Amino acid sequence: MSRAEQAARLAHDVGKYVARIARNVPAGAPVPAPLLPLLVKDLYERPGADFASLSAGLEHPDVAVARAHLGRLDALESAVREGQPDACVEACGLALQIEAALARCAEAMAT
Amino acid sequence: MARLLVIEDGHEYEEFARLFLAPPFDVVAAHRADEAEALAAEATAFLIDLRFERAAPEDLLGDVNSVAASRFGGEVERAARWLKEQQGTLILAALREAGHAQPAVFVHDFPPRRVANLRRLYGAVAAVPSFDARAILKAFEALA
Repeated sequence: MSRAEQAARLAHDVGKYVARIARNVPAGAPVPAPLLPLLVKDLYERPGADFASLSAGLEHPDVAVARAHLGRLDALESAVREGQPDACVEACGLALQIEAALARCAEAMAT
Repeated sequence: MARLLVIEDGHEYEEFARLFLAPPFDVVAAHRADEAEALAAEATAFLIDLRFERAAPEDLLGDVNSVAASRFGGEVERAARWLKEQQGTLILAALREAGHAQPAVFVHDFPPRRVANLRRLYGAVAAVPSFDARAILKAFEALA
């Protein structure tokens, strides 16, 4: 698989789906309770969306950015699962930044 | 109510559509080309995932050996990957060939020239780069 193909797959399998619910919550706004289970699913429960394996060997500043944000998401997991408002707001912001970083990486690798 | 046919290899698009696109749509889902063709006649519009990474090879539309021979110098593995990566467009092509001209929106970050080519080939097509419900609804409105 070429680096361009790898980056495209990463943007699709991780970036797009991690932001699925976050994209539709107004920035900074509380996550409505009915959306919380799906937010948790997007952030923490997607089999086949293993960033570490999908990004293996792909060196790019935006991959590092996404990796750092995913690390922060991991640290927030308990609080997000409990529905703590500040944690959920931060998690949504991180999800959008991860999506943007991986989209930038895919675009850069494609050119 | 307008019926939206969601075409994907998983369930994330359907979940998303039921939460954010219904109403205005009534949502049904297909996970393979033959399912999509069976449901297309009753649909008002299509929401399509491009990449079917999770699909089993036998569930994909397209002949891997023909694709390998015509596009990849006989490399079957490369052809198999291509069928997964482009499955959404292949299914749309099949739907168009079967006479289903409904508007189709991809949730994929296509370059502009790719969108232009998809329109040239398949008519009423748009692409929204992310799961942005408002943008997707606007895209369908623009295609109507």
